[in-house]
Parts: sequence; C-alpha cells; structure tokens
Amino acid sequence: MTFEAVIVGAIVGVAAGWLIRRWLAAARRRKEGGCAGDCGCAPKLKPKK
Amino acid sequence: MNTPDAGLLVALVGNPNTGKSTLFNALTGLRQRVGNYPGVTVARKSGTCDLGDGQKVELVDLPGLYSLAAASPDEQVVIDALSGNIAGDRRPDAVVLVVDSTNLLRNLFLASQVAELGRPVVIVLNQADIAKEQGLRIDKELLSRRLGGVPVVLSSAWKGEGILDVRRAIASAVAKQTPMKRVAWPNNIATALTDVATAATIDTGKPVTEADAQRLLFDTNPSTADRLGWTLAQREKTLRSARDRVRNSGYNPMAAEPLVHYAHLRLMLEGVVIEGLGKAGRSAAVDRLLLHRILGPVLFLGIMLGFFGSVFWLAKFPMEWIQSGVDWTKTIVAPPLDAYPMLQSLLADGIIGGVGAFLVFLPQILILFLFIGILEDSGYMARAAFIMDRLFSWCGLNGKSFVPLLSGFACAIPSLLSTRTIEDPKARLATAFVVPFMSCSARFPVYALMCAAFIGPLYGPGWQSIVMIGMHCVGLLFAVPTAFVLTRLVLKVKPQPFVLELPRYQMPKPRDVLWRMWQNAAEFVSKAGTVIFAITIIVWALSYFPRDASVAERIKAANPAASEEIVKAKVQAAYVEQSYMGRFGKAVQPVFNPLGFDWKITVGVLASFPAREVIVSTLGVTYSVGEGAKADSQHLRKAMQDAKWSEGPRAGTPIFSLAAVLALMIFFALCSQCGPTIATLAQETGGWKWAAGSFVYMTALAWLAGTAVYQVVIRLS
Amino acid sequence: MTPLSQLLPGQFGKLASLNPERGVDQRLMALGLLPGMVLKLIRRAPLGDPLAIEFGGQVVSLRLAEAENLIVDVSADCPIQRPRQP
Repeated sequence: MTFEAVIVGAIVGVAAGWLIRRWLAAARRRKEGGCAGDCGCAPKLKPKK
Repeated sequence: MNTPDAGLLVALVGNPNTGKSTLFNALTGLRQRVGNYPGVTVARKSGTCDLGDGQKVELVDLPGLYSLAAASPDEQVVIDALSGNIAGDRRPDAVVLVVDSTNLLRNLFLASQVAELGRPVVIVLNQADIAKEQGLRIDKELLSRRLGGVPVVLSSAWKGEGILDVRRAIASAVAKQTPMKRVAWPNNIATALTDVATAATIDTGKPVTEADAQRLLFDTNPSTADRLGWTLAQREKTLRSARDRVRNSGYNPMAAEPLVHYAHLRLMLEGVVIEGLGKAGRSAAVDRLLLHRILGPVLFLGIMLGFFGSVFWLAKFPMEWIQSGVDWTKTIVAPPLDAYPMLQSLLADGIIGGVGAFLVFLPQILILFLFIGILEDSGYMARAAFIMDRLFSWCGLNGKSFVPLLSGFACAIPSLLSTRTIEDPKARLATAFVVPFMSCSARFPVYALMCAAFIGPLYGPGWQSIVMIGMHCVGLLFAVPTAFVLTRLVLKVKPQPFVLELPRYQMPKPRDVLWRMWQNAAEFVSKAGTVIFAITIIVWALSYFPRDASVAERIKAANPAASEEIVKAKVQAAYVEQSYMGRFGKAVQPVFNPLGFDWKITVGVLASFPAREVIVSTLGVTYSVGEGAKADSQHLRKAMQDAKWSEGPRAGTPIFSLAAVLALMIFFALCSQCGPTIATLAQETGGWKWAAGSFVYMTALAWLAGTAVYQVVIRLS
Repeated sequence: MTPLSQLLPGQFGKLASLNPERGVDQRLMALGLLPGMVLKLIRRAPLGDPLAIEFGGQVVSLRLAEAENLIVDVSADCPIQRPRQP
C-alpha cells in the first residue's frame, strides 16, 4: 500500500465513521424526544400568538 | 463560571411583540447561546448579563405569551421554567416582565399571573418612546408602590435607552427579593383553590403550589395535572365540586381568572397612566393600505415576488466572489500534489470542488433568512397570515399553520417541530404532511444552479427569476390539493380556532435582524463544514474507485490518432463511469430515463437523500472528476453546459436540455425531503406510517411530474 | 344585541356575552375582552374572513365562525375612543 493510499484511506474512513456515529446519535436523540435535524433545532420563526 | 454570582438565573417574560428579544440582546450584548428544552421545540435562549458591579447573571429569554394558561407544549415551557419544573434548570432568582408601555392593562395580566408564583419581579415598561409619542405619561413610582414595591423602570430597547436602569433594577430585585403584589381572590374562589391544592397533594404525594392549584382549577388542558401525576379519575370529583363552588359565587369558573385579575389590575392602574395629547399611531393608516380589499393581496403578492427576485439578484455578486475564491483555492492546492493524483483528486475535486459548490449559495440563504426576519420583526407576518387565513381554512388548516409552512421554506425540520403549537392533532398531522412541499433552502442551490447555468444564459435574467419563483410555487401548487384532500377527506379535521394579534408596525432593528441572520448563517456553514463535507468525501471515494490502469490503456489503444487532451478527457470519463458510483447510477438510470436524467444526475439525486444540497456537491464531484483534476478545472456550470449524451437514442444532444433542466427542478421540488426530515416526520407523527406514506407519495408525484414535464417540453422544443 | 360577525366595518359595540368554555373565548378574555368591554370592528380580510377587531388598544384577528358566538350590544353608549390606535 502506498503512502498516498494510506492517507486517502484514512480520510475516507474517518469521514464514514463520523457520519455513522452522528446518525446513530441522532437516532438516539429522536427516541428521547429531542431534535434530530441537521438544520438546527430553534425554529427560526417563533409562532407568536 | 468563576464568580459565585454567576450561578444566578433570571428569566425574561412578556407578551409577544414587546421588544423582549431586543431587550435581551441589549442586556446580554449578544453573549448568547442556544440550547434545548427536552421534549419541546422551543430553544432555550440564554445569555450572560452584566449587572454593573461585577455581578453577572444568566438571563433566559422565555417565549412570548399572553397568559400562563398554556395552549400548547411550547407555552407550557414558560410556566414550567418559572416554577423550576424543568429538568436541569432551577427556579429563577428573579423574573423580568417586559411590558409594552402603550398597553399596560393587557400586558400586566401576564404579570399578575406571574406574581402568583412568588418570585421577585422587575417590571420593565418597554417601548417607552412610543408611549411618549402617543402622549402617555406613566407614573412609575406610583405603579411600583401599588405593586408592592417592585422596581419599575422605563426603557426603549430599540433605542438602547434605559438599559442601565434595567440592569440596576435586576440587581436590586435579586438583592431585595421583593415579590409582586398578588391578586386577592374572592373568598369562595380562594377556598376552591385550597380544596384543589389539598386534594391534589394527598392524591399525588407531591408538593402542589398555589399557582399549580390555579392552573388545575382554571385550565381545561390537563398539562399541570399530568405533570403532577394526578389522574382523571382522581381529580374529576374534586375539580367538579371546586368549580361548582366558584360558579355559586357568581363567576363562571372558566372566566374567573381573567375577570378577577383584570378587575384587580384596573384598581392598580388607577391614575398611573395619564393620557395627554399625542400622535395617533401610524399602524392603522398603514393597514388601510396593506389590508385593503384589493390592494392588500396585490401588495402581498408583490412583496413576496419582489423578495424572491431580489434574493438572487442581490446575491449574484457575492456568489461570483465565493466561486472565484473556491477556484483560486484549487489552483493553490492542486499543483504541489501532481505526484499524488489520488490525493490531489480528493482534495481538489472532492473536497474543494464538492464543498465549494455548496458554499457558493451562502449569500442567497443569508438574504432569505434576512427577509424572513424582517417580515417577522416588522409585524407584517401577522398581516400576511390575516390575508391568507381564508385559504388556509379552506384547506382545513388555519393561519397558525402559516408560520410552520413559511419557515418550511428555510428548513423543514424546525418547521415540523413548530407544528407542535397547533393544538388539534389532526390539523397538526395535516400541516406536518404538507410542510415538505415548501421548497426548503436545501433545494435553493439546485434551482439556482440550474437557472444560472441554463435558463439565464439562454432566456435572460427575467426568465431566470420567473423560473426560480415558479419552482417555489410548484410545491405550493401541489400542497394545496394535498392539504385539502388530507384535511377534508382523509382526516376530517374540525375547523380550528384562530386568534392572532395584529401588532403595531415597527422598524426592525438592524442589529437584531442581522444577528439572527448571522446565527442562521453559522448553522448553514457548519452544516457545510461537517455533514456535507463528510458526505462529499464518501461520494468522491465512490466516484473515484476502483481505478484500473487497464482502462487508460484501452482508451489509448482505441484512439491512436487523438490528441493527448482528448484522450485524457476520455480516460477520465471512463474512470468515473466504471467507479462504484457510476455503476450504481447506470444501474438505476433507466428508472429516471423518462425524465431525461443521465447516470450522473441519477447519482446526484440518490446521493442527496441524506441532505438535499449534496446533489450540487455530487454533481461537482462527478463532473469535476470526469473532466480531469486539472488545476484550472472549469467549474460546474460550464461542465454541465457542455455535457452531451455519449450513446443511446439521444447521442450527441446536450444532456441538460431545457426539458431535462425543468424536469430535474420539478423532480427536486416535489421529491421527498431529505432523510432527517422523514425521520423527524416519523418522530412527530409517532410512527413510521405517515413518514413512509409521505416518502412514497412525494417520490411518486415527483417522478410523474418530472416525466410529464420532460416528455412534453422535449417535444415542444 | 347582535353577533359580532354581523357588525359593519367601523361599527362600535359593547360586549354583552361570550362563551368561556371555548378555547377561543378564553384567549380573548386573557387579552382583556370581557363583558362590558367596548370593541370596534375595523375591517374584514380581503377574502371576507377573518375579521379585525379592536379593543383595549389592540387589534386582533378573529374568524367569522368564532365571532358569531360573541354577542355585542351596538346600541350601548360607547365612550368616544381616543384615536390612540396601535
């Protein structure tokens, strides 16, 4: 395995692992009734009655 | 947290539209953070406030509301926070009541309810400048005396006046711990309250405060009872006899609370406000125009259209600026890595090309959020809901759905969460189902890219704007019948009550609006920097590997006479085609063939399931990688403009014909929202049934519409 | 005695009765609309519904269907209101 391949492989691996961890955490948060979105939880517009 | 005083917690409450947030910003100097309350959509907005003598407190900005009789879980948060019933938050050490000086009576109703909680109170008479304009003179010393000696200060947060007084008042409240004078309940009501409190304490074994007893007695919704664990069977008899007692003393128990409080407040306010000569408010005059029977809707349409047009007209220059920045970065990063083509490709095409293609749309997103902020702060949002409510009620929704639906244009997820303010579960479900039809900001880059690359150059900027707006309308077009069928036929939703205040118009404060825009932008960029970044790397890897040298040799052998440039381009194209991504795309492509998609577009569509913006990055990668990792790689637009079908019945014709471009945009407008949205929909509807239904329905609709558009347009052109 | 929904734009009236069991009426009471309060129908929305009513120095949007349950005394002696609109 070339040096180059190792670096590229490491970057891709970290990216994949990070994504999987994040999605698992979101699934866990969802079960607890919190916010799971990637876009941020605070509604930008607060419904004002 | 170094100083011992940093542990002090002060809550900010008040009616909506009192300038509470402006005051909060002024007091915290924007040293704020946003967190979460468990189980509700409302964000926990807190900041550090300097009281002036080295004392710092944590200031929490609670949502604006009119009464502690909460109508939704979001409003329930306020009373829970004030009573210290929220996990992780203790009772506030002081409560700051932000009041609109021009309407003391109504604003103090909430104050009077808060007084029942017994915490030290500060009354801030905000918008004092407007009161003065209207000729009102408020005797704040008298008011303070009447309310039991609590600090009463005048301020105009918008102008930045009186902030120091507010800080001092908070310090004084925290030090002196003076509670606000409470209402004196008529004897029978007081007894009824005691009965309820006693019974609840016995039945649940939990401490039941006087404020709790009031909520139990006066509210129809059972949230307080549920929190205490006081079951229906347990409380039914007690509440019935308590309410009968109230009735026998001449008060309708459901009206007793406002009747008693307001009578009390009228006494408290006697002589406090002196009405002199002043200017009449301008809002009424403005409303005569903006709510006019004919001009109103016309202006409403004009404002909405004008905005969408200006969004990308204003963003054009910054976008080009960011694009050059991205290209420049590539030229810096690529050459040193010529010896390592794999790494070079990862960095230049994958990361920079992919993420850059997404970042380029930051200016448009910024302006979108800016506009929504201005609409809201100016007070026009309520007028829009007022005009649109008839249409909403025809669909079985009401104006309360307007805000979740409008915010769906920014992002579907907070929009779905904000549907929790809709009390009726069926109306909530219907609104939530319709939210994904609002073209969220993630789809914006797709429209923008397509319009800028194909509509603009060929048909001019006028058509570019029209198509942009049109795409947003496509979603609405399908949302209306969907909502109608859902609410009238499928769910049979009952008509919803709708009470909305039309607040005074005010000039949005630039600092506040820009600050919110900045916060939204930071979120957008961090999303780019994280999730999209990671997904882009994965997509790159799938488009790059496997890479077999025999492919290059085969191409060279098949093209002995071609120039080096052409051979190189063909080699690159072949590499991408036989990568994992390419193979997957080609396998699925026949499904999308009726829409005119080639395999690269197909791949983009599929790869964007986790986050819709990813299609732009993916196209960035697949076209970049296909065209070679040259230092001066054309950016995406040109690559797409030049792309042609290489084989099959369409060989030689451009892939991105008008038909295909329109089909792609329409597909995107209607196709199911990103994965996280589906997941949130499942969460909000308590199961996967509706979420799956949404996915199937919208994907099928998108496919049909895209096919129809492509087939029709390709024959016409 | 007229239902609020039948008032003409610009017409004043004194609230005679409402229906405290309903959520809508409870919200209105919290805003200060109690029996005896003077109110004014400002206008109807361009599409006819909802209504904009003014009371106690504030303007509130209310649906026609809900306004039917609010009974208003139009012949009552309404004190001349200050032109102090929001």
